Amino acid sequence: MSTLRVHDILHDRVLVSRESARVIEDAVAELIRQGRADGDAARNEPFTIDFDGVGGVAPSFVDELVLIFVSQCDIMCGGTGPRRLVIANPPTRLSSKFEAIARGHHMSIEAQSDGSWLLADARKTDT
Amino acid sequence: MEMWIVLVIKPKHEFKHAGELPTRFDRHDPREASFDVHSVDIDLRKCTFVRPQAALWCVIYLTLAAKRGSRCRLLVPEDYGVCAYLKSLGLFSVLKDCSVEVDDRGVGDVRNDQKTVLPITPFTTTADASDLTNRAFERLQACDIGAANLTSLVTELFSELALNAAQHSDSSIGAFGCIQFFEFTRGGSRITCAVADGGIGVLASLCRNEKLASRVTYDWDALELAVRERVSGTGDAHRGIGLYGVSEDVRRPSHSLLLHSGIGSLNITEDLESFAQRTRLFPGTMAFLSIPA
Repeated sequence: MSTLRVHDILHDRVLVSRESARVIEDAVAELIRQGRADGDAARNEPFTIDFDGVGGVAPSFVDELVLIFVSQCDIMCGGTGPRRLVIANPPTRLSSKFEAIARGHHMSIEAQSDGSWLLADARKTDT
Repeated sequence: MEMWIVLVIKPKHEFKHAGELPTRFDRHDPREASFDVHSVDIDLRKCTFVRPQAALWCVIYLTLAAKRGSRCRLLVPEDYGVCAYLKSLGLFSVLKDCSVEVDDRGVGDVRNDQKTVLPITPFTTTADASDLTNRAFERLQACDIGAANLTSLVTELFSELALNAAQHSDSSIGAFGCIQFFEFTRGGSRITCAVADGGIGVLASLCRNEKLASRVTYDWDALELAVRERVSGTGDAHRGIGLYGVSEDVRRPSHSLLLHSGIGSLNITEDLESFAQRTRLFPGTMAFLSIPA
């Protein structure tokens, strides 16, 4: 499973702005590229973005991060590939605002038993 | 003959927020080029209680007026305890930095007050908002206040309010934020966050988006619209999650949010859900939230 550790790139304890999410755009693109090369996407395994070491996160940051992930998936998979993303070690609880973020990108979101969040493609249910 | 307008604003003894001020001050908006007031005194001498949202109104009004060339003074409370509290909140130093006269002689050096998590602090850009949020996070952790998840929740909420002010207010004086911890003698404790700017207000900000301009008429209905999902003055379909997220988070027991912009305000509490009304002028936008610690 391909994993990106956010804190390796962004060292702030709280990730706030959309601009700071854009700093890891290349790393997200590399995560997806590597995952496709390893066959993760073919096996329908999710990509993982790990927030270990991050103390807090603003919804705007998460919104931009999901936008980047979806855009990069579309670029590399032509808009038809599966979109599955695990947010590991989220620094906060899953609340309705994060559900709204996922919804805005045609994805579902749910908390897993290990505390991570799984975002999955919800485009089929939109039609 | 030239008329010199002298404005003396005396709030109630318990000064909670700008919505309590007399209506006659509404016509003196220091954001307007027509603001032609020789001097402004905000007289807190008889105040026995000044809430953070009221303190921020003082900062915004006096800073805007000083920028317009008015002579501005804050008359500090005679009650020493209230005065010391406002000093610990950073009110006096912020105003002095903005060329406002404050005679706070005899009020001792501010002790390292654990209750002031973040004193009133100016900021302008989203990078400033990010720095301020991180500073608040470190301070909350050092203070070891409240439940384990409180630090992340407070910083999430504060960061969104600060981002909104930095990105959308177009404020000539920037914005100001503060975070406080209150412990009540009757039991219970609370964290409050306040962010204010002297900008264009929520109505004008939303009207920058042509699709929204026809849907809002007054400051109060603009506030009602602003807290809805994916509503943004930017016109970008992927924006407008911040204020919606904050408003959703406060629809919980003992949480509350007050938004005050221009002559409109919106209150969200668990009981009220959402209540918008016409009120007294806030020259810009102020957001105040209170959550149990």
